Amino acid sequence: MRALRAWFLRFGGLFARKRRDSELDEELDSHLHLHIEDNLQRGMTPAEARRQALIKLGGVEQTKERYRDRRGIPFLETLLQDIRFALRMLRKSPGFTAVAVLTLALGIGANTAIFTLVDALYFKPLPVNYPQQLMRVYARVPSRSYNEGFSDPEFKFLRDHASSFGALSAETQVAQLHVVTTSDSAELRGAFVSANYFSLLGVEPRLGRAFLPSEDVAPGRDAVAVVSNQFWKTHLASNPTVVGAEIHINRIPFKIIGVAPPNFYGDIAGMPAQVWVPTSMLGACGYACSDGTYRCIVYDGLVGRLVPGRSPAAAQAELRSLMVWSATDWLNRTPRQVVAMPANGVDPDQRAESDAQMQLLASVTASLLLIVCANLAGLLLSRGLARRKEIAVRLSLGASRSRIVRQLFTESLILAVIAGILGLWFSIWARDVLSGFYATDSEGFHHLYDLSLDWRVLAYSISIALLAGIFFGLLPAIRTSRQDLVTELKGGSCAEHSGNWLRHGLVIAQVALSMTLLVSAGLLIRSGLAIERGTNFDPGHMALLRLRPELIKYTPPQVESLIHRVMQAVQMMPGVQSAAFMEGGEGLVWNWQNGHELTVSVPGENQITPASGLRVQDVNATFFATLRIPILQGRAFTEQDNAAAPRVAIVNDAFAQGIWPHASAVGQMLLIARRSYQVVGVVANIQPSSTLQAASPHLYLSYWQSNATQNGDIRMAIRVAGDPSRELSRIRHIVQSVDPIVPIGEEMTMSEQLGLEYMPVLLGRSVMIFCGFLALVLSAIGVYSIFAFAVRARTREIGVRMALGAEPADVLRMIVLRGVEVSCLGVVIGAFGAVGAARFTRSLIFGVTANDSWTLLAVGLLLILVALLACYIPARRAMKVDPMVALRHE
Amino acid sequence: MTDKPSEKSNYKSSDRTSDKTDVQQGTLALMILKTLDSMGALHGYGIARRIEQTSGNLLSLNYGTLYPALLKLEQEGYIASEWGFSDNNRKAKFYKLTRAGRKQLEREAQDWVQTTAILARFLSPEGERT
Repeated sequence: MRALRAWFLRFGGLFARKRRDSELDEELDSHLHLHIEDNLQRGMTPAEARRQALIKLGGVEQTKERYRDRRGIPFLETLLQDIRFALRMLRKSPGFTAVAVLTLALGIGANTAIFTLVDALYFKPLPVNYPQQLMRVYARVPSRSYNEGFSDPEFKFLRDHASSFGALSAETQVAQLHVVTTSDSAELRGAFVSANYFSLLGVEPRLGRAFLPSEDVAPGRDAVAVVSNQFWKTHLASNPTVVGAEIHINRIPFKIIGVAPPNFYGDIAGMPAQVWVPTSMLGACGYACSDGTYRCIVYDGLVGRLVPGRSPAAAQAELRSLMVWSATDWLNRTPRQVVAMPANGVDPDQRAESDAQMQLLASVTASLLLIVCANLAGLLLSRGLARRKEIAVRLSLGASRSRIVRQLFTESLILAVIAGILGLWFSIWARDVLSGFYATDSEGFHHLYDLSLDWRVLAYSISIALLAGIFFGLLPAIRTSRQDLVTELKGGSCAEHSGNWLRHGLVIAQVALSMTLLVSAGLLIRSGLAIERGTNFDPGHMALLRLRPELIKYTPPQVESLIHRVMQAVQMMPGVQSAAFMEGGEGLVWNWQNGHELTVSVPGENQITPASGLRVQDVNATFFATLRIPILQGRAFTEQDNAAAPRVAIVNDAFAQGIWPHASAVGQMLLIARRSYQVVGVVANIQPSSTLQAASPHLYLSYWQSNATQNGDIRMAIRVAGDPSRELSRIRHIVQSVDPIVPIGEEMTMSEQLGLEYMPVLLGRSVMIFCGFLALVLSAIGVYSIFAFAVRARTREIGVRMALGAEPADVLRMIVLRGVEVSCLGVVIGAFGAVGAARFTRSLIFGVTANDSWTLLAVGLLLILVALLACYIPARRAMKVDPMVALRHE
Repeated sequence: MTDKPSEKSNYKSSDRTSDKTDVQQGTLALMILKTLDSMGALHGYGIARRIEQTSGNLLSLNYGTLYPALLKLEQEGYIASEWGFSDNNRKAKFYKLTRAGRKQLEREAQDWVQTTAILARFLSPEGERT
């Protein structure tokens, strides 16, 4: 306590030094006078009295010095002195300071912004009680990386037998619930959960109550729902008496029993639920058998709270040893394995993708920061050489080398800290840009990630700022302090060559890293263009929407009539050029129903369906024309290909090449689900395939020849003349005029859907363009700075050369050639780097090969051109050297 | 920019007067506290003189070391200072013991008595026998 008080006062001693110094002066003065008076009384002469008093005191200045050491904190005082000096030096060269702080801040900002995403995707704890105890449990198929789910008996067995969990709740998220309130209707994401879900998480509804245990026992009996705070605000007008009111979910009347607290959106990051319903209602809402049993229910996963002291690994081991898999209607095919993981972060089905994405983005921004550091180290080395006289003077006045290093290093750290603060500010801005990529999923449902600043983000940005400061500051500081005093003070100028290799090496490294980044950026730009343009189909001017009469229990004849009436009305709309529809599935063009549900074979041969990869889609007659998919052979479907007509099929080029490599596909027969179909056409491969995968085989069937009307899930694609985003509301209006209650969802333009579907590519592209551009600018600065310095340092040499007859053009050539050398070396090294980096970007590259030589060539030339420009400016200055002035200078 | 002068000056005086001992580390504070306890408020020069007198002039005190020690005690709250006037009417800074200082003095004095007693037992020839 005393020591703390003393430290506190000593800290205070750092301030108001003038006043304290004068007080000490006065005290010592009075001390001396008292002593002298004493001595005089003892009979000394005045001179002797004074001398003796001073000797006894041990020197006024020494006393003051020791007193000051005790008064303040010497280490801190030197530091403050260094900081003041550093700030003065930085202010003296505002150009350098601005470039250093700005580039470093951009580098730190980019890294921090990416970390904000990583934090939101992986580390942010759930807004519930004791989030670190929460685990999510999945049943995964080891060979495939997706989640298969638990049957009801399996869940109940684990719930009743696992000792690792204090409580366990089942959960199934459903992305499209059709919810109708008294005032409006909405398609939104909801979750079917066990009755103990809210109490397990420790979440208290802000209004009403959570589920009772008795409400999750009898299938279809208890139609009760808890709604989210946001749903309550937007759809229920924040009505405080809403508890007890009725809403319809998939046409079943539900009673609202509670409103969840603000900021609670369920337990899966990024997938906010708006409505919670007991699992007993899964069947009634159409997601399991509707026969009043739990028979065909599949739970996506379980949420559990660990008993205190139990480790996640032990819990998983217990579940694995405990689990007895029971066959159900849906889940009897593949062996599964229990996986338990901490409940924060994204859903495991998305984890692999987001892992890859974050690794890529983090390594890109880390490379950028590395370039920034190399650039700054180079600038500081040049600055150190320019300051060598000053440092030589200080060394010769007795400053120790470590003192000089400390001082120079302080300068770098100050730069880093200022840049860190600015970078944090940049990252907040960049975060808003990045969050745009995470706003909705590819079906248009809102994502919700908590991207707010937290201590992890702050700690991260501070540590990378300091790390960068050490990284770029230490080497130049040590290098600069190592000097040959005698040569230096004599004004010798051989020192301009010292550290040449180091500075050149740094610039070559910068150019090389920039090359790598820019090539990747170039590839992603081309991929983005390929995606936006579409391959063998035309995504422009397309409006999409999804009708789901299944959610309101339409019968097949009702579905059929709905389709006819809607198509007719939409095709009559002014501005609509053509309209097509197809059976639902996920996403209009890419995520088709998986063909492995069907057995497909060629008569007389073995089954040919690949286990996966074959995509089957039921489409109508106008599908190919509306999407502008080229028909290579044969014909498209017609309105006559209906249930009464002979069954026909259309395959894509990849399918035809794979099955009938030597013959025409048209006219061949196929057995699909034991019925024979005749192939009547071959169309182009439309999927813009990444270079990783060959175009997958597609099989198209006529909508009216399949039993798609049973499913009652229809995707519509409408080609319009104008801006499709403006037509969407008109189209909705028309559909509602035909059928006011049919659920309409996923209304978006095809460009939007492509953007969401290929979000990793487009996000990667944005980050890459930013980092690549900055890298280019930094390389230019790096090249410029070493040549500007070289020209300044070699003024005399150039003067001598010119006096001996060198032409200005020779001087120019000498410098520019050196620039070409440095940048070419960098470009070549960077090209190898780019080929290596393609390993990481390959999955994002569409429509070009990962080692696209045109991109390599173009980026290489761009870099060399920029380097030439950057060294041309100092070279021109060198040409203007007047030999007389240069020689007289010494 | 310049390096600090080293702490040499502390011990210089002992060369001159080899029959006197230097003040041992850590004991100066205790001496100051005791002096202030017995003398009341006193200025720096007075404390120094008093310490020398009390030691029977056996102690060689470098007066300059007194001031950082006084500052340290003041920072720790054991003494307080105030400007006043000396007997011969000269302006001087007077130090006096605080309540915390008095307690600290008791504690340290006791510690010292104990330490010296233990050491005495070790060093005296009969100490080993008992």
